[in-house]
Amino acid sequence: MTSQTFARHVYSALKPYRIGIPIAVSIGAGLLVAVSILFLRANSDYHLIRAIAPHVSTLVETQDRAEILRMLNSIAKERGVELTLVQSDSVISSSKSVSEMDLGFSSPKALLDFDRTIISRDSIVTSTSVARENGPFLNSQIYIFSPLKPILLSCLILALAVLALSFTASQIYALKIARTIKQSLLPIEELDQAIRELLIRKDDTLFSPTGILELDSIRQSLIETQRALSDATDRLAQNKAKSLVADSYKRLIHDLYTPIAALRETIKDVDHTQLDSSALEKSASKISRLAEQILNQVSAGKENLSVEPSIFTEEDIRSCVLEASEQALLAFKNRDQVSFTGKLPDLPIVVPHDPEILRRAITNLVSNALRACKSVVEVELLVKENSVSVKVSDDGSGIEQSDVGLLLQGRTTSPGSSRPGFGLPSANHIARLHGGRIVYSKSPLGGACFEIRI
Amino acid sequence: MSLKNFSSFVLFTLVTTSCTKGNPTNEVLNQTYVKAIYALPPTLDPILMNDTASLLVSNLIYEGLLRFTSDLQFEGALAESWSVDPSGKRYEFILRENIKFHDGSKITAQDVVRSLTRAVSPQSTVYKYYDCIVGAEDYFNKKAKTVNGLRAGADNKVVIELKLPFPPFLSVLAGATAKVLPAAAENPRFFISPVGAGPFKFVSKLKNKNGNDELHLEKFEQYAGTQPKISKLILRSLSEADALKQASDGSIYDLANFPLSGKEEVFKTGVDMHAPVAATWIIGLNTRKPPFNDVNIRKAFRAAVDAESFRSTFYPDAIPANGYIPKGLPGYLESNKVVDGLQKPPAHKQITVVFPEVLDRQVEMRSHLEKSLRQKGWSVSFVAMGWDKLMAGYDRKTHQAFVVSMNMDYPDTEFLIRNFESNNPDNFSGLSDARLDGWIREARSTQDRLRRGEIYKNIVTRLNDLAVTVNLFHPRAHNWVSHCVKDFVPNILADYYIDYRKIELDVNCIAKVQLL
Repeated sequence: MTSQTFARHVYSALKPYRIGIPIAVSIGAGLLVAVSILFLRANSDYHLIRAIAPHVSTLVETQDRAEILRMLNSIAKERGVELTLVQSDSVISSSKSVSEMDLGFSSPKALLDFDRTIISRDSIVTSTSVARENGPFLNSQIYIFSPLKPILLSCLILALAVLALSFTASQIYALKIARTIKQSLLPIEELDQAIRELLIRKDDTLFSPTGILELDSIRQSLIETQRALSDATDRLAQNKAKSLVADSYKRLIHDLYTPIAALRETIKDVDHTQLDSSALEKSASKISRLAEQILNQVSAGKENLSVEPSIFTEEDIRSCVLEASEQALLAFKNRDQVSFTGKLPDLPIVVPHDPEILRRAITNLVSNALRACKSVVEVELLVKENSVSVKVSDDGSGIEQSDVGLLLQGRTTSPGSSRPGFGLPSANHIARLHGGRIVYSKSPLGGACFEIRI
Repeated sequence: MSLKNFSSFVLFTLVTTSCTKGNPTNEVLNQTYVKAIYALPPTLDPILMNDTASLLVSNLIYEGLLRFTSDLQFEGALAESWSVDPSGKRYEFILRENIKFHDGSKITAQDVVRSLTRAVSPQSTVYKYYDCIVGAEDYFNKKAKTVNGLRAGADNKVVIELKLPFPPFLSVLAGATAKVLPAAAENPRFFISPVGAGPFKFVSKLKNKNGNDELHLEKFEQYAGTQPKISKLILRSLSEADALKQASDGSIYDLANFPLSGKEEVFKTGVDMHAPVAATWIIGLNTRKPPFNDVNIRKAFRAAVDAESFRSTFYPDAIPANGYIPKGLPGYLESNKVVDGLQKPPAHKQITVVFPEVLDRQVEMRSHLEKSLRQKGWSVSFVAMGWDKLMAGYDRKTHQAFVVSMNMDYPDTEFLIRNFESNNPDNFSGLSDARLDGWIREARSTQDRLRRGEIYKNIVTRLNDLAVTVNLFHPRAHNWVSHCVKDFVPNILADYYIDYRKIELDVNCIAKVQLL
């Protein structure tokens, strides 16, 4: 189903009325005018022939056809009608044609009969007896024929004019209604916009009162709901952070289990086995190395455990990626031969996260890449179905897949460095704090590609 | 009153093609309107006109102060405006600017006064219409050298004063005899090729290839009123039979001058522009000639004529005549209450009734009337007579009886009724009845319409009592008009008032007819 604006919906819903009402009004007006004109015309005709009847009576009595004809023709010409004078069913005189005179008169067929007036196919025919006070009975009638066509034509023209006017008026009215509705919807649209902004910025100060009771009630409900949701999210995030810290301890302990076990077995070998000096030296070296690794791992773990998420907020992660990249680039600004490319989506990517520590993790990865690259570093923010990825790639010599685990656990030094590197373990820890992880792959650029997937 | 019909010029009828068919170019033919008339006008002098052919030509080539519209209203012709003073006796007319005769000379107020003076001159046969003008009687009787009631004023003004208020006088001025002619009209030869100011000007009188007499008229470009749409008008004198044939073959565009019934074959090929018309077909009875000097014989004769049978046989849609006045005019009788007392014909001499020869079915008509009367014991002959002879006898009052259609010249009963006034020279019946004369005078001076109508009914009833006419029927005009003619409007008064200025020819229609 195609959605449409409420204003368009109302305008469409009014369509039958926009067309039907003008037609009904014009038909009604046409009929009303037609009936009025017919009535007025018939009445006027009747009074006219009643007025001349006494004089006509005198002329009929004296058989003065010439004078009758002059009078009938004069009235006919002046009023645009025809008159016929009949006596004993024979036409005495007629303005229509002299050929009718002295022939039988047949009354026109009545479509409508109103006693003294009939409506025939082409005329309004009104008649009255020809008589005068104290005059003889003449058995004579005078008929006046008003043509119907001009009257009906006038009514048709009027109906069409009314149709045009009422149609225009209804169109204007409907448009006005639609416009009013549109204007009335502005506060709702503003409310809608404010709700959208609220989802992005969490800023309920954008909600300004609309002045419309219902809308302001919705607004207040939304603000309260939003605040309650925010509190609930904070509590949820704190709980989740605690849970993640506990997990970190567990992972640290678990990660320490292997080297410590290795150390224990090596020490056992030294205690219980007759070793030659070279073997002892080798074992001592191994113990030293394992101890070093354990120490590094514990240092890294200690470092990481100091990193605890404060509160996850639903913010646009793009700003976090952008700030982290800028921070790293600033630190390596002396590497001006490096080509840095950042790819961010156009639309905001709102993800629950701790911007502070996540920015630190991304900075670490970008810094590592700037350090390891020959000349190209790329940072890309990707949105997948259920996750968000920040991929940092370089064109350096890359890392052996077997070393990745040690690097992420902080048990070995960074490539090209003799000191223990906390960057990757820290980033890994932060990714885990966000419920995610770091995935390593070979970069299409030729070097390493570390992806924070949360 | 004018007598419609019935010319005797039924000659050369075997060839039915017109002289205009074939020879002239299509363009000329398309602009030429050919109208059939039952006879050439006996006269082209308006003051002598008493028949419809003459009156038709008069309305085409001459112009008066006023004209009738198609619905019998008055419109200014040469007069731009007119007014009547409160007394109803003084009329003032203002002539239009730049009105001209066909010869280009300007029409003046003096031309109007001189022309109306001719109408009341001793030689005028239409004097009766103008005798209400102050001084007309003295001039007619040669007691005066001018007519006091006719004056030409400054600024194209014409003043006419009447002896008494007489509203129908405007009808007289709009009629076909009140036409304005130039000074040259005093010369009798003027009317051989008359000059008028009407919408059409006289071109020639000739015989066409088929021997039919024709009057050729053409559009007058400087005509003051509505310009005609047709450029040339030919009035062709034909018998009814020939007119019907030529109309059928497309040579004639209208037969409005003929008394058709609407049943003729020709109506299958044209349009029947039918309308009532103010006319009455009568058998006029001359009281000067025995046996019609006896009112009882006149009544018996009238009772014997089966007018209804004649009407239903020959003009079935005509209205039965209960009196002399046609329907639609004051004085028309809805029913005839006259009882003709005698059932058997009295002893009498042979009666001769002259009958218009020009009618297509005149033989049948005469036979129908004659047979009916003879069966009832009347010694009577219906004799066919040419129109000129019939009219001459009518004017001289020599016919014992005659069949004519009495047409209304003007839309007022006055002009029909006054034929029976004892002092009217046009009194064809020779009737002299004091009561009738009194009513005619009373009606003329009565302003109240209802009262005037009552008087006319009294007059018509009295005429029925005196039985000077056998009223056959009031005809319905069936004007056959070609499909190619547009804007032909029948006139309920008479066909000669049809407005030929507005008539138009459909050129495409004519072209199709010619191809056929």
